[in-house]
Amino acid sequence: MKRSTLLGMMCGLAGLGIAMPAGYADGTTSGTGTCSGTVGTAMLAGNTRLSVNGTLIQAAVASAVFGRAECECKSRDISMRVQLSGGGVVAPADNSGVSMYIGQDNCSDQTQRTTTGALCEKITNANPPGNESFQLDLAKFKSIGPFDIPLPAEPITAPRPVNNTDSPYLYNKCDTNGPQTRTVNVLIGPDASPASCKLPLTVSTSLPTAPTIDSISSGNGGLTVRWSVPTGTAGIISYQLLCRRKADPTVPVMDQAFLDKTPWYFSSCLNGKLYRRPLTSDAVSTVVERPGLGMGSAAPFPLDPAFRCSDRIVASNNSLDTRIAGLANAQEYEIVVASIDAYGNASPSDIKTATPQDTQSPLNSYCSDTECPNSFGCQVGPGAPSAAGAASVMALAALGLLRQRRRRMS
Amino acid sequence: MSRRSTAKIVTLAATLAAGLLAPARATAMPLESPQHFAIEIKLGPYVPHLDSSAGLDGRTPFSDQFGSPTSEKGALPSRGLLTQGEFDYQFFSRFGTLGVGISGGYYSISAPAFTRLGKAPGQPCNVIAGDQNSRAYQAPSAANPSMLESKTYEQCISGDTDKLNVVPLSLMLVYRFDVLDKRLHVPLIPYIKVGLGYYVWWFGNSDSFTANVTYNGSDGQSRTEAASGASMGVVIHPGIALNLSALDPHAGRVIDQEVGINRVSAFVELNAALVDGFGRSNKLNLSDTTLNAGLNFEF
Repeated sequence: MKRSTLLGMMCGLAGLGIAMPAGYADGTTSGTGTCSGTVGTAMLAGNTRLSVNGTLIQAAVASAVFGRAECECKSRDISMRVQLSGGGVVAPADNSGVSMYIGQDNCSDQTQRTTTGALCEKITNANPPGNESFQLDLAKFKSIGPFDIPLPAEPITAPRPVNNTDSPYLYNKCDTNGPQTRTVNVLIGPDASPASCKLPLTVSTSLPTAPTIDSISSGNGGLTVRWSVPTGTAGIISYQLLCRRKADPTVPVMDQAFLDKTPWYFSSCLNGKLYRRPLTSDAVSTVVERPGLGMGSAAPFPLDPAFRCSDRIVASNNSLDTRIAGLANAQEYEIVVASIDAYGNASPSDIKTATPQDTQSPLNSYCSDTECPNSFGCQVGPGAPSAAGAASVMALAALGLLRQRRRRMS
Repeated sequence: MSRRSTAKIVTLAATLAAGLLAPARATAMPLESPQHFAIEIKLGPYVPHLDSSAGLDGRTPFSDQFGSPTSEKGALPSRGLLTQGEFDYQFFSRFGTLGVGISGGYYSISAPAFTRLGKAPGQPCNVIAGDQNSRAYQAPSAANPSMLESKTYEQCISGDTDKLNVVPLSLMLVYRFDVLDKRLHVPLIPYIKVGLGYYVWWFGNSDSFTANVTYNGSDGQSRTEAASGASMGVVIHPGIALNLSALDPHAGRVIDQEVGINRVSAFVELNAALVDGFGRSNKLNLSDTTLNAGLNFEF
């Protein structure tokens, strides 16, 4: 939506005395949209945003929520939240003419085409196939309070069915060839001139450039991993490292305390679960059950958040490094670096192996068979008098002499 | 020497002595604000002489790890920056000022940790003198642990970093001979500070702020303790300061009247630290002798 159009709409609403709810002012690029139009004699006005499981998605990521994981797992839990304002907003008494379209801007329920001729897709209980749970809660259109309309991922991410007998679970090819814009459009009212609530989205199921692990240096209970991407690589916003013990590849390496405090920052559809990166302000990553989906992406080293071994590393440079701590010495580990884009898509590097090794404490060389010089006090120990000791003795002697002389003089 | 010349010298000396001993000249200028304190900020090079610690029997572990791998075996690692601050309380100010001062600072030096090679618990590489003032590295052979084989520096180090941190603390007696400055308007102030130093140190590494050290105690049991401690010694800082306020007396008076700073001076001093725990074998030697420079504010 052009900024000038939006500003015009906002000014028009303001001119009509319709208050803009707090937090809904920006409607262009941060995943928010608007409602406008007239149904009968009632004006429809308000704003839209994205929500997940009833919680608003952070504005910073709301324009880029749909990625490959949502596509492969046919995500169902992201919704468009509609906030109507202005009073007197009503849907038609029989809810006739209420429908939902996804496509480019200006979808029309009459032609299902946009102003540029591109098709829009009408969302129903049967489209996309298997969308039985989808419903427009028509009764809520008569309410002033906010309500959520679930957005099925398939019409937004546009997966294409492929024949793959080897991986029956990969029934869709999720590839949008880079970021694309979609507009979710709920049309209300007579077909001839429906009012609409719109929400602009950007979707990308293309994977970011995979990093290359340049080196792994062993340390005491840890490994220092250095990786890079080619100069000029764009689209990567962060990295996260995954690791697993080669001798025990199914058991997470990190302890539960680390896993509890460290979110995963990519989304992954794996083994019947959608692992979703943090989208809401509480910065908690979530797991959504999607039985039967995402089984095919498990090899050779799955982008399984259970194997996360680092926190997020912001992609501030083409060449980065970090240290994985909490590993066992003399155990061989497999390491993968995942590059992550704004949509939560992740690309793994090649797998590299390394073994942490114990290091020598610098202080060990100063320890004798029975003691180390790690004390703060003045323990008596053997040793020849030093220059410092001699100087101290001389200083004390000089002070004593001075005092004696002053006493004599007085 | 003629009688005339001798008379001239005697006259000059008498004038100088009279100037030094006479009370400060009364002027029409506003009086100086009371002066009891001084604050200093100073910077200088420093590296502790850890390899001079008692009980090393000629070994040079500090140089081996923290020294440049291209330098000679046993060469002192390059000096790093020691940043210090000092606070003085001046309790005597008749003929110069005498006070007590405390100072603190921070210094650190980092280097790659040495890996323990071979079967656990493993051994770090030995650093030996190489050809042409270089150093060479040896470690037990994997095939025959009783034999030593040559290694490269890269084979000996790990991806971890060890870091030595030193916080030098001092309690000193400070005497500033500012008579030349106050009475003869020669803006040079020789001074000397003498006192006790208490240098706190600790080794950190990539994994923790304070690393651990494991060794066998006197009871034969293996002990793991924090690799930290402190050494006591003597510090001596003779130096000379240039009174910057004297370069622009008017500005100096304004600063005194407005802020209460009597004198701002730049200085250079010898940082002679004889801090080795008075030679005890269970103390690290953190001594060094270098030059410091900084700014002093008296108020």
